[in-house]
Order: sequence, then C-alpha cells, then structure tokens
Amino acid sequence: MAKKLAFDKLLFTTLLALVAFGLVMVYSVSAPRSRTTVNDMLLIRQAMAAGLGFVALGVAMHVPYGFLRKPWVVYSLLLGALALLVAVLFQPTVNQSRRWILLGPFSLQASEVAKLALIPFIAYQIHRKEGDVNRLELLVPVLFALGLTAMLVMAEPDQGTAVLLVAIAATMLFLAGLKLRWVTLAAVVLVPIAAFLALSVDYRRARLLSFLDPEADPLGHGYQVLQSLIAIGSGGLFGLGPGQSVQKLYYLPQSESDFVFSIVAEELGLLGGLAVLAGFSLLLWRGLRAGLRAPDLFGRHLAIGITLLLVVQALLNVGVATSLLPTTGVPLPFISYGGSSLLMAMIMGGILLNISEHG
Amino acid sequence: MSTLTEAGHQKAGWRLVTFVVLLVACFLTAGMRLGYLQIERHGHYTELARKQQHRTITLNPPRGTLFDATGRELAVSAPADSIFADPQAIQDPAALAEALAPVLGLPQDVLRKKLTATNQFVWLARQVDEAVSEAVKELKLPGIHWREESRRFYPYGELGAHVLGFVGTDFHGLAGIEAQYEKVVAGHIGQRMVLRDASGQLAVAPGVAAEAARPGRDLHLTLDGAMQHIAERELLAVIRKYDAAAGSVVLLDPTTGAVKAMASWPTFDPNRFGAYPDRTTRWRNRAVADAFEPGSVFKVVVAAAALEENVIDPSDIIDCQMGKLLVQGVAIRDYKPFGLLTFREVISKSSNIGTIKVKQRIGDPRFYQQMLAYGFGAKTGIDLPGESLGILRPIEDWPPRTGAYAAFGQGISVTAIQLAAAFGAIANGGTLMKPYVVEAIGSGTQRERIGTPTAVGRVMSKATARQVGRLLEAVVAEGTARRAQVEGYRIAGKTSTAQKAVVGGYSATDHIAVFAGFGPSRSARLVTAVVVDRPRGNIHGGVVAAPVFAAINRQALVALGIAPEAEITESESADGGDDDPWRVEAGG
Repeated sequence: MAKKLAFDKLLFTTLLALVAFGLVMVYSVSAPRSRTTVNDMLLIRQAMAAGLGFVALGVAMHVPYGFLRKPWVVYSLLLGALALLVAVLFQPTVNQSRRWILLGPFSLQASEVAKLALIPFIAYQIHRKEGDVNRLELLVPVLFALGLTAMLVMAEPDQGTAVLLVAIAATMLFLAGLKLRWVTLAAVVLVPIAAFLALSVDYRRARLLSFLDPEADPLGHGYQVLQSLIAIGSGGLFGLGPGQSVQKLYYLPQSESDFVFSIVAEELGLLGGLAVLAGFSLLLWRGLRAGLRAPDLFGRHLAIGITLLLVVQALLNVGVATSLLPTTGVPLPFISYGGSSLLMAMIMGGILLNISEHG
Repeated sequence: MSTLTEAGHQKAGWRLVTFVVLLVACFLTAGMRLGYLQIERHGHYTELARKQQHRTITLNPPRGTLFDATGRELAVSAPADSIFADPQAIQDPAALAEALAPVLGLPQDVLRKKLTATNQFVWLARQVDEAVSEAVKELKLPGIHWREESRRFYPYGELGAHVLGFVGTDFHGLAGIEAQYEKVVAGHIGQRMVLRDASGQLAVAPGVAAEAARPGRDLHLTLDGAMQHIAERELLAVIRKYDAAAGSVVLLDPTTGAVKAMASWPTFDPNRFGAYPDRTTRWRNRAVADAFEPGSVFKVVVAAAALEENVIDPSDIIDCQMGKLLVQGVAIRDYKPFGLLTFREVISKSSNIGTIKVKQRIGDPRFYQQMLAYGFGAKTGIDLPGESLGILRPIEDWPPRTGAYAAFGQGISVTAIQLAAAFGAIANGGTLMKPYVVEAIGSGTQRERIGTPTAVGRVMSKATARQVGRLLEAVVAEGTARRAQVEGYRIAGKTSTAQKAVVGGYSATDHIAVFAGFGPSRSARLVTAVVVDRPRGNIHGGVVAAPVFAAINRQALVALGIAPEAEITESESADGGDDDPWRVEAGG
C-alpha cells in the first residue's frame, strides 16, 4: 500500500448531502400519509437505516479496503449473497415479487447485498489476473458468478436490478481491457435474447414500450409514468415548494421509493432536479478520481465499479422517472426510501472514501 | 503493481474516457429532458395535474327558516350527513353492501350495484339521520365517505304543507313557498376548488373559494299556525263526515289580502313528501290550483253590478215564476218553486230565476265587466306556484245563454283563492286586494317587508259593498246559510250547491258544496272560503260547507281577539237601514 492520504472531503460532503436530502424527501413524501394511514413509520425507519448506515460508512472508511481483497472475504460475501438470493425465493410475496428477507420488524433486500458482493468479486478477479481479463480462468468464474446472481435476481423477479448487475459487470470487464471481440460476441448473443424476452409477450411489450407515449394508456401501463411526468412537469422551474407536492397524495405509486425523484422535481423544480444530477456528477468525478489514484488494480476497479453502480443506477432511475427509459424499478441511491438500498449505498460510499485515502 | 505509472497514478485509458463521456452525455440528456418537461411542457402537465387534482365541490348553505305570523318555526334547516362511496377504492363490494345494508336501511343488492359502479362517486344515502350517520362513521369502511349537507325539517308535520311546499334531496324547493321563494330562501350555493388525492379524499384546501356560500334568508309568512291548524282540522272533519273526495279552505284578512290560513285535502307530511303512492294528488294545493264551477255564490257578482247600477233595490219584488224560466227557448229551473220574492230573498233563498232576471236588467256586458272586476278568469297573483286562472271566456266568445248560466255560477270556473279575494272586496268596502302569503324577508335588522297590501282595483262603491254585505247577512240570518251563524258575531256569506261539471254536461251524482263569507260582517276581519268536493250523503253548501265556516270562525274570530258583538242593539245595527233583517239572539 502506498502512502495514506486524507479522505476526499468533497466526496464525503456529497455523500452526506445526498443522505440528508433523501431523509428530507422521505419525510416530505410520507408526511401527508402518516395522517391517514398506519404507514407512518417511513421516516423513522429510514432514519434508523441512515443511522446504521453512518456506522457502516464509518467502519468501511476505517477498515483498509485491502481487507475486501482477501479471498475468503470475497468468496464469503459472494456465497452469502447467493445464499440470501436463494433464501429470498422462499419468502412471502410482497407486491408480486420476493425481494425481502423478513427479519422480524426489519427486512433485508437480497439484491442489494448481491451488488455489494459482486463488485468486489469482479475487482478481485481482475486484480488476481493482473488486469488480463481476456483469460478464461478469469472470465469463467466471473460469468458464472454473474450469471447465477443475475438469474436469481431475475427469479424474484427484479429485472431492473438484474440488468443493472449485468451492465455493471460488463462495464467493469470492458474498462479492465476486455477484448472487443468478446464484447461483440456478448452483444450478438445477449441482445437478441433480451429483445425476444422483452418483446415476445404482448403485455410485457406493452408495459415496456408504454414509456414512449404514457398518455396513450393513462390508466393502464402508462399510469405510473404519466403521473411521474405530471409531477415533474407541473414542478416547473422552481417547483411547488418544499412539502407542496400533490402527486405524492397517492397519485404517484412508489413516490417514496422508485419515483422519489419525480417528487423532488415537483416540489423543488428544475433547480432541485438538476441539483440531484449535480450531486451524482460529483460522485462520478470523485469516485473515478479515487479509483484512478488507487495504488492497486483491486482498488481501481472496486472504486470504478462502485461509482458506476451508484451513478448508473441514479441515471437509470432518473431516466425512468422522466420517461426516457422503460420502467425498471430501481431506487435512487441515497435518496429513495428503502433501508437495504440506503445501507448498501452508504457502505459503498465508505469504501470509496477509504480508497480515496490511498494513492 | 506493474500497471502503476511513475506518478503512482493510473492512466484513465481510452475505454474509461469513452465511458465517462457516455455518462456525461447521459447526465446532459437527463438534464435537458428535465428542462424540456419542466419548462417547455410545464403548462401541459400543470393542466393535467389540475384536471386530476382539483375538484369543484358545491357548498350548500342552510335554507332560511319559514316563520308563521306569530314566530312559529314552520320549516327549519339542520345539518345532516350524506353518505357517498368511491367504488374505485372498494375491493369487496359484496361485503361492504352487507355491512351497510342494515345501517342505511337499504337492500343489499341495491347497495352492491351502487358500490360496483365504474365512476369514482356515488351517493348511497342523502341527508341521513344523525344516528345513521354516526353508525356509518363507526364502521370505518374503506371507500365510504360523507359530506355534511343541510336537511329540511318541518316541525309541525302536515301543518300548512301545501303552502310551505317541500325541498328535494338536491336542495331545490319543489313546491309551495319553498319553490316560489327558492332564490331567497335557498341562499347562494357556493363553489370551492379543493385538492383531492388519488383516492378521491379531499386533501388540502388551498383556500381558494371560487364563490362563497351564502345562507338562505328567513321568510315570515302571513299564515297563522293556530288558524291553519283550525282550518285543517275542520276541513278534515267535514271530509270525514261526508266522505268527500277533496276540499280546501282559505282564510284571508280582507283589509290587506294576507292569507291567514290555507288548507287543502288530501294532504301530506313535507318531511316525507315522497312516501305517498298518490303523491301528485296529495301535493296539489287545491286552494289555488283547482278551478271549479262556483254555483250560487256567484250571484253576488250579479247583485253587486245591479246595486252599483242602481237598477234594483234589495226590497224590490221579482217574479220567480214558480221555478221555471225560458231563456232563448231553454227552460231554467230553481231547486224549488218560488213566487214573488224581494231581491234580498232572491239572494238569501238563492233563486236562479230571480238572479237571471236581475242580470237581464244590467245586461251581459255590465255583468261581464263586474266578473272581471272581481278578478275572475285571472290569476290573483298570490305568491304561490301553480295558480289556476279559472275559466272565464271573453264575452265575444259567449255562446247563447252564457250570461244566464253564469248568473248562478255555471259555465265559468273559479278557484278558492279567487272566491276568497272576491268576497274580501265585498267585506272591505269594495276594493279587491291581492292575496299574499309572505309578509317579510330576513330576520332581525335584515328584515325587509315585502308583503304590503296591494289593491288590484275597486270592484264596487263602498255603498254597494255595504248593500251586498247586508244581502249576505240575510243569507246567513234567514236564508240558505243559517248553519254558518257564529254566536256573538254578525256573519255575511253565500252558499253554493254546484253540480260538478263533467265532459259534455253535469254529473248527476257529484257536487261541490261551497260557502264563502266573512265576519264580523260590518267590520270584517276574516274572509273564509270553504270548498268541499264531492260530499256524500248530503250535498248542500248550506249543510256541508256552512258549518265548516262556523266551526272555523267560532275559534278564529276569538283567536283574532275580536270581542263578540252580543250586546249590539237594534239601534246600533240600524245603520244598515231598516230593511236589515239580521238580529242577534240574546245570549247566543
């Protein structure tokens, strides 16, 4: 390990700002609901997750990231994540899918753990082969782990996260120097399969393509996206004001989780929306900077993978909310309601900060 | 660590640069998309938001109270909840219908049908009792909501039902005063924009009231609840006694035209106006809506015209030809043969032939003019809906013998209110007053008198009115209307036993018994018209209708605070002339 530096203050501030902003937004969205339903625990639960997240972030910051490079740690994480992904299939169905492992009053989202396990695993493999990613000894275990993880996530079903995992893994390999013929081969094989899966069944195609014109089916497939657009569009330049969203009054489903960005844009306007984008742009810059300054390949690719995951997931979420992309159902990191998502994002933030201390 | 550069930092490499450029492009796209949605399309989405988020609700203000002349509350408004459902928010309509049916008292299948409607709003029960509303709230059912509305109560039930009218569930006055004065008594229905959430619950009121609701104004009626009660009770009694089909009674103040009581039968309770199978029959305010051939009471029209023209004196002798008179080749008969009668006796004994002969002295045009002056064939203009004109053909269109028949009240029709107003003109010295039922609008300092006495016109001179009055006193004192006498008060009036007009002629079995009169006859305070439709057993106005007058006035005159005139002496009563046959029996 090279010399120890001070951690990245700008990155730290950005992460803190995103978490704090997320808590405010969860409060804003849940406030009108707490008066009318028993589901008034959103803020408390999110605040508890954030508290736990700060502890985890602190630990991740202070434990040298090299700890994650140890084979037993890498494999334990991966096997643990896979075990959780299998276990989740035996959990009761919530909202037509099995995503949460219920632990009394708390629940853990298995796919979030999978994200945290898969990125160090790939970074470890790249590090192990000293960056020569075109070797089968590397590609086989990576593709095996990725395929297993993605299929289990798919089975929940949670296509959005599965696609995200594949995309991040592929990008990590690509950035590590994967030969273009492998990339081309993967594209030739995977794209038609994905397209067939997505478009062959009528209702799935209708749902997938509804984002192109949500007003064509305002009460059916287009409902959620249209409500999101109404929220964003009616926000205007300066928004309706903090706490003034009307769309959160049950018009926009999942306005506290997957569609929280729409409420941000409704209440705080274009300025609020751009501020969130700016936050993730900062995260991209400082995260890649930490990776590029990392003293080893593991740190480099771990930081890049984490940064890409957080940023791509944010872009995916915003793309869905603004109807640029079909609905995938991924949360906005740090901001959306969801304890597992927040906790994992904060642990990843802590790892990034730790990497930033080295170089 | 072979890949590390000299500086200890790794190079970005073209792959990472490409990827960063791609991500920056994504950020820019997202930013531009936001700008497009929030600036360019802001208006469009604001409009969509407004459409789904805003709902205009109407605010129904409480209606004004209806007071009688003595301050009794005849109609009041009280808050009452209306229950409605949002079928879109209901998962299990069958279970909900089962839970609600016993509470609302509605059949389960009706409720289930409503709860499975495709819209987001359906009324389940309007303006329910407090107990029902509390029970519904207690159930805390999903998708079931309520809104406070105002409900009309008529504390005295049937009392004055036809005058008061009633209010439909949608807050519109549908009959009577409630309909006539809708704009005043209903107040101003307000409209308010509110935000609603996706489940239809009214969420946050932005406080932008488009139009505020204004409560309705009170109405003060001329009706006297006590007299109304007396009138209704006596009307019901006579209808029961003679098994009559219908009837009406009108009590007027002759000096002002103010209606003191107006009763119709069959009647209804305005609190549950819809609960009758024969409701349109019951809702009918016969006193203003039903026209009938008046019969002999109409002879006062001939008498007034003849006395006004000075073509006859009450003591002049008329040959009644023993009950048969040919008019243009058609025989007209009296109900019993009369020989020579004074004009006073022609009226008091109600001879058709005598009256026709008097009418012949003045001629049809003068007679017709007198009918118009009395207000027949035209609405009195009373402030109640549904008034009938009666039937009075223009003289140019009269077939032969119309004038002769009209002299004893056939071939024309009148309403009870017309009859009462006409007798009011005789009673008050010759001026026809417009009848009215609302005295004032508003209460307290806002009170505004609208029911001012309005003279429609002079029907006859004061002297003629007094002479007609004396003739009518004779009818009660010694003629056909002796049962209209009221102990202690001098009464003037006239009976009718009219054959009921049917298509193509007159019914052999159906009659209308009528009495119209006033008392005390020389300073009249109350005109009463009694109409009994199709009495059985006895059909005569003098037997059926006159006693109703007596029974009502016996109580009403006392209620008005008029001292009995029992002490009136011969000399005091002589102001009407020595031909006055009327005499109060001592101690009567």
